[in-house]
Amino acid sequence: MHADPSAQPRRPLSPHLQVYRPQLTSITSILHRMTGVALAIGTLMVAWWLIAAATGPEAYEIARKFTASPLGLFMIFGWTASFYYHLFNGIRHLIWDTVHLFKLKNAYIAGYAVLLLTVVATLATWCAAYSNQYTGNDRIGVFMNVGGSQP
Amino acid sequence: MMSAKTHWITLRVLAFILIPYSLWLVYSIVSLAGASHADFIAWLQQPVNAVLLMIFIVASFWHAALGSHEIIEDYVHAEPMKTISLKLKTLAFLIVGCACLYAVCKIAFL
Repeated sequence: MHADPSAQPRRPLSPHLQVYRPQLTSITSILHRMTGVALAIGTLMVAWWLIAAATGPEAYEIARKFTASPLGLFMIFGWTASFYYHLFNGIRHLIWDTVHLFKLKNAYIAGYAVLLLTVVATLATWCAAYSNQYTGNDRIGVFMNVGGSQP
Repeated sequence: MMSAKTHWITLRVLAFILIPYSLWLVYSIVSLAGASHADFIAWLQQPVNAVLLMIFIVASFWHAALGSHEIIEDYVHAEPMKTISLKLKTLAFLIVGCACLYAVCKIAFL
C-alpha cells in the first residue's frame, strides 16, 4: 500500500495543560504566552483608537464612548493587567537568558514577585488614570512643548 | 526567512528596548486619560511624542510578530496550514502596523 508521502503519521505530543500538575513555574510560563496573545490582539484596539483619532472628532467620540462603556473598561482592564504581567515576567525571562535565577527557589521568588508587581502596577495605574481624569490634571505627557509645537 | 538564531536575538533585543518604552507609554496613556480629541491631537502633534510612538509601534508589532511566530510553530504542525498561518501572521501585523503609522503621520501633518 502506497502511503501518501506528505501525510504525517500521528505521533504522541508531549503533555500540556491537561496533564501537567499546576505549579508556579508552569502556570507563569503559560500565562506569559497567553498574555502575549492577548496583547497582540489588543494591538487591534490600539489601531482602532489611532485611526479614529486621525479620522476626526466624531469617530474619536465613538471610540472614546466604547472605552468608557462597561465592556470597554473590562477589556482595557484585562489589557493593562496582561501588559504588566507580560512586562514583569518578560524581565524575568530576560534574566534567565543571562543564566541567572535558575535555582528553583529563586525562580519561585521571582515568580511571586512578578504576580505581586502585576497586581500593584495594574491597580496603581487605574487609580492614577481615574484620579487624573476627574481632577483635571493639566499636565499631559512627559515631553509637552519639547521639540517645538506647531509644524 | 530569518534564521532561528536571528529570530531569538531580535526578540530579546526588542523586548529589552520595549521595557523603558512601555513605561513611557503607560505614563502617556495615564496622563491622557479622559482627554478630549483636541488634547490628544495636540499631544500627538508634538514631534517627540509622534516619533516615539512610531518607533514604539514598529518595535511592539515586530516583537508581537516574532512571538506569534513561535506560538504558531508550537501548535500548528500540518504543513500547508503552518506555512499559510505564518505568512498570514506577517501580513496581518504588517497591515495593522502600517495603518497605525499612517494614522500617526496623518495626525502629525493635520
